[in-house]
Amino acid sequence: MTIIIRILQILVENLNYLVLFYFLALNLFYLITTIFAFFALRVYARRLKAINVEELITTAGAPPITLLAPAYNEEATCVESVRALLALNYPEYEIIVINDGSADNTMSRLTEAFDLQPAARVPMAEIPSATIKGLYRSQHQPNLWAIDKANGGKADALNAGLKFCRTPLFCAMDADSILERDALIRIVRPFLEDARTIAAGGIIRIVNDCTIKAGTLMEIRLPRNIWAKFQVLEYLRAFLSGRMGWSALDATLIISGAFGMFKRPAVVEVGGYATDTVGEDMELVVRLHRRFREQRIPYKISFVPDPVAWTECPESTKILGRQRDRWQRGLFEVLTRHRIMFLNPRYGRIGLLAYPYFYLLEMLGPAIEMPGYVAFLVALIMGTVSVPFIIAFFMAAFIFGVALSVFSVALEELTFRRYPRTIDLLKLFMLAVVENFGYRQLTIYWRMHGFISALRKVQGWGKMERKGFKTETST
Amino acid sequence: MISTIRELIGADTVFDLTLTVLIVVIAVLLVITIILGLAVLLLRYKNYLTARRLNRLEDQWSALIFTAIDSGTGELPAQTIKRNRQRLFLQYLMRYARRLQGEEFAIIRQLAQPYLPILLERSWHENPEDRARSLQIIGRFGFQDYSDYLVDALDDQSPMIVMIAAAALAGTKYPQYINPILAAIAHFEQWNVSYLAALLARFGPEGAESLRRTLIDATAPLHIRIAGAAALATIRDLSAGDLALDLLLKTADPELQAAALRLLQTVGRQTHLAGIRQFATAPEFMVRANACAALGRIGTDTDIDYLRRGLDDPSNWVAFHAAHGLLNLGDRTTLQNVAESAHARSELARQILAEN
Repeated sequence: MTIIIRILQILVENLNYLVLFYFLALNLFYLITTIFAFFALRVYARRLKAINVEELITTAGAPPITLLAPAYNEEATCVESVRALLALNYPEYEIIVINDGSADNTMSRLTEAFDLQPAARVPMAEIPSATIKGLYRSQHQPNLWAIDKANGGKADALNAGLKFCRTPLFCAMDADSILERDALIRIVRPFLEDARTIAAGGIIRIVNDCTIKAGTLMEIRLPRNIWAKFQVLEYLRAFLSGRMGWSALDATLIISGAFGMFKRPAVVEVGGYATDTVGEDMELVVRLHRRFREQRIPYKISFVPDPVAWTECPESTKILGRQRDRWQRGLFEVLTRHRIMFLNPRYGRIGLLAYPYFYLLEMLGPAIEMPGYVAFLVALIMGTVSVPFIIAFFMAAFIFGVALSVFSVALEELTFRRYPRTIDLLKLFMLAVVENFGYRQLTIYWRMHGFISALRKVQGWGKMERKGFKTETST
Repeated sequence: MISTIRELIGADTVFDLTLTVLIVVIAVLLVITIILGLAVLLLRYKNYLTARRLNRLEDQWSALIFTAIDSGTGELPAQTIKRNRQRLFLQYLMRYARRLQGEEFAIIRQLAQPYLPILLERSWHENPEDRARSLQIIGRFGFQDYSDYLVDALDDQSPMIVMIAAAALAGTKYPQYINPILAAIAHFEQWNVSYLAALLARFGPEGAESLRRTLIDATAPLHIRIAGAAALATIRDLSAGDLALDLLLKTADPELQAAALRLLQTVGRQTHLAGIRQFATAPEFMVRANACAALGRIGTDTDIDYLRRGLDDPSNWVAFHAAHGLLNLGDRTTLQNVAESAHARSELARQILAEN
């Protein structure tokens, strides 16, 4: 019995050290990307002030764009979203909404709102997708098309849209997201300034409780729901500190499926989106990196911090848990599929820096962190850890996290200041502290669940419920 | 400090000492975080005050501008704008002028004149972004007097400054600036060709001669020649047709061939058709597609056969341009027959017929 307790003690002790090391490594990476993001954002904000982006692009050869908006059971938000897309400020663009076999009234809502009628159109690329039941064109908005197809998942819907895309660039987005009016003008800039650019991602922000009128965001405020509030902070940290930092390091591995711009020929050449993963957005970016690196073709994939897509986030733990489970499964599927890139110098800083980070700290992270909390509690109860260790663990696990979240809020305030109410800023600071004591552990639990689901090869997206946008007329 | 903390928490091994250092480092980070948080709140307050002050100033300036426009003088009383606000005033005028043209714009430009020197004083000592901002204002309001500064800026190290100077000079439509611009943007091989073409096309027909020279200059960078061809197409320079055909027949570069064919679509004549037809069977699909587009645009009945063959091309793009070409040349019958048959392009034919 004593031997068993001793073995348990050794195991717990070593797990505690591992977890402490994990927290330090993870937070150090966050700190490094935050520092890089800070300098990159400073330069970017100065550039924005220096030039009139709109004037520069509208008068000078802006490439035509196709917006691909897959919709699955989006009856609550699809009409408002498409209205917002039609109001975008860009010289030449086309919208293709892809109804991915919705079980609700998505297609009929769209047909009714935009007078969609059957129209002929041939595919321009050979990319497989589920059966296409019909193609429709709006009778009063000639740049609006809709594809009605059998359900095949988001990637399959994007592939269906990509087949019919004729423009040199396409923008993949969610039909339940609202793009800001000048989002396309802003996201297209990297493609103009560097012809090697094959993909660029924009920032995703949370729209819950913001007010929308005629597809345009009228009032920006923090959501009232506590889970949505936490997600605002998470998104700020993920995009402003994370993606901006990785982009500054020229190692962008993720472009959010909710808003990303791609060169059509590059994506067609790699075969479009992978339909056998729930992480199709990341998978495409990793595959593009892989293909271009293997063929030694110069390319660039970047993140642009000011084109914004506003999206509705889950407000219940049930739906949020499903979403995080899915994200973790997606991450697992993508990183295990392309593991040849792991620490492989052939793939440059993607293989040597970004991939190992995502593999060891993001993919395996929950499997270390979750048991780590348990081990720490056990060690505390057994009295086998020293006071310095307890304090160091607390500092590394919680206080370091608080610091990083505050840095993200500071980055937001130093650059874009999208939350005009001072009370919202104060709340964000408060959330930066509070989220480390409960919410973070909860997300780790969901991610751990996702990790196990991925090991068990669980498939599917899980149901996502929408409450719809808050429009000015409804307030 | 570390030894005090070490004593306080009872750290007595090397490992504990390491942990103590870690605790101190994170504690320092926490202190920095608190200071940063407070600084951000102060910054918010400062921004609020600045915005309020700026709004007040802009209200005053707006009233002044209205008065100047109403009186048609374009003059403000001396010392109306204090020296430390002149830069802000110019930036305000710049925003204001975006919506104006003609006489009203001329008045705004006149209002800006006395304050433009301040941009020159400071512009070369600041970061590229501030200099770019100044250059934009100079380009908009002070081109006549300060064109040398804009031309000098074409040699700047910052690509953004070069582009802004180039855009400002191109906007003047004075042909003497096109050659310095072509020389400056020769280094920008990574920029989007359509963007460069649009910039060059802003000179209009006045810039055509230089563009034609660049098009046939085998020593010029490829991206400049392609941009030049696109610019000539935009300004519909009919004199470029023969040069485009000559280039098409001589070059082996498919990108340049495609650019020449795109130019011929716009400015080509029937005498160019024989040359274009050779490229309807080129190995690269983008060359074949552009050849079909050119034949469809300027071709004759003889070219209908080429376009019919284009419908059988394995590339969707070639077939697409061929189908459009057939419609342009009035051969609806072929399209109708294909549409009603089991031909692989029947759907395409139906689409083209339905769209037109």
